[in-house]
Amino acid sequence: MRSAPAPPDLGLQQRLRAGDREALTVLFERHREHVFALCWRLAGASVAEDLLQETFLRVWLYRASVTGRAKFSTWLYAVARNVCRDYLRRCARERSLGEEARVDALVAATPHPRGRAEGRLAIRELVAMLGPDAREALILSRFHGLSYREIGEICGCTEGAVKVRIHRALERLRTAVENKEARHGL
Amino acid sequence: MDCESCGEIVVRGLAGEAAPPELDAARVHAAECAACGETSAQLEVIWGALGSWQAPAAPLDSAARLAGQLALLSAAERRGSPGPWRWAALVAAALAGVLVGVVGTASRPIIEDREPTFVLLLRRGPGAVDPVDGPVREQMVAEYSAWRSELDRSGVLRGSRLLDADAGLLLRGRTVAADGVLRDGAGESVSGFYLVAAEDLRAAGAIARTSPHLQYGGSIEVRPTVEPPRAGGR
Repeated sequence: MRSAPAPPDLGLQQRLRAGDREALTVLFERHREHVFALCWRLAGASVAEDLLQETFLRVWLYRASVTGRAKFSTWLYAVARNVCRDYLRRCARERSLGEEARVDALVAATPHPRGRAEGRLAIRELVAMLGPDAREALILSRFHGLSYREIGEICGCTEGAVKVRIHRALERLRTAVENKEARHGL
Repeated sequence: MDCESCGEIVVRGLAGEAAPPELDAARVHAAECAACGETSAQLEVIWGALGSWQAPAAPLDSAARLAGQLALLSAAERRGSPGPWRWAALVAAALAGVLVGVVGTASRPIIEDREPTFVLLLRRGPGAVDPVDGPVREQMVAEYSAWRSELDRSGVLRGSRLLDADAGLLLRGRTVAADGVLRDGAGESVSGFYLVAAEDLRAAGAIARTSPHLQYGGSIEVRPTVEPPRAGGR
């Protein structure tokens, strides 16, 4: 016997808005892996679980602002993104050290991405060192498959700005790898 | 097509934002322009390499942890209607594990009229961590103390006690049937209790799940309390 289809997010949003905690539980089960992965990539493995919790506590706290007009997952990603930003701000992760200098420092120790596993690891570290706007846009596009329009809604910017951020992010990674190749005569 | 447009389209193509005709035009250009051909290939390699950065699954107990945090917040909510700023402070404090000074600090040992309350019976058996002296004991004391403070300050705690691990009497009729702590067939005994207020059994269970007792191999039995029948009452 087939089980009944899961209710769509829209109905759950209405229940959430009315203060139904069970609706939050269902939404949590439905979206937690995506939110956890976003927090994991944006803020780091050691705090991803805490930020996942904080995201859904904020969803509960701000449930009155769930209107159903926007796609719930887009709104949820925006909350998670803000939670991660707040955390990074609190921790002063976005250091005063210039972004260029940070990238250059990493590039010096970066193997080629076509190489072994540690090469892929280095690419990951490079992404972590991108500026917050470029990093968020790239991660939301590459790992969460979101459109430029959705990313714009989440990050509070235009589609055009998203396009520029992702293009610059990839160009920066490509240049970093290219420079690495040149240094090692690859 | 110029080289700048080619690179821009290639990136949009990787992100699934370019139309097929645009991609075709970019491919034609890249086939004729060695620099763009190499750039396109590099971008595709990087896009692919990013795919190896896979996040692990969320912890299995994350849902239980959220339920516990929400139960505590709901308890605080029932004790007043905090404004947005107090709410924000509550959320932040709940995540920090300490609801310091937001909803009051006094224990409430008296059960309010018709308030649903639950006893959390903490049980320990042979499988539980033995709190021997040393860093482990200090860690356990700190965690249990923090948990109790969290319950207290969130307004759900109505009372708590640890039980002497060695002393006890079991009475049957007018005689002492056993001298010492009663253990069940699995060797477990009650090591302490907490009396908490919660909406229902499920919410009480969610509060119990936030206890460090479970991390140290203990078990918790959650039992609703009921009003004793009044003599001559209906």
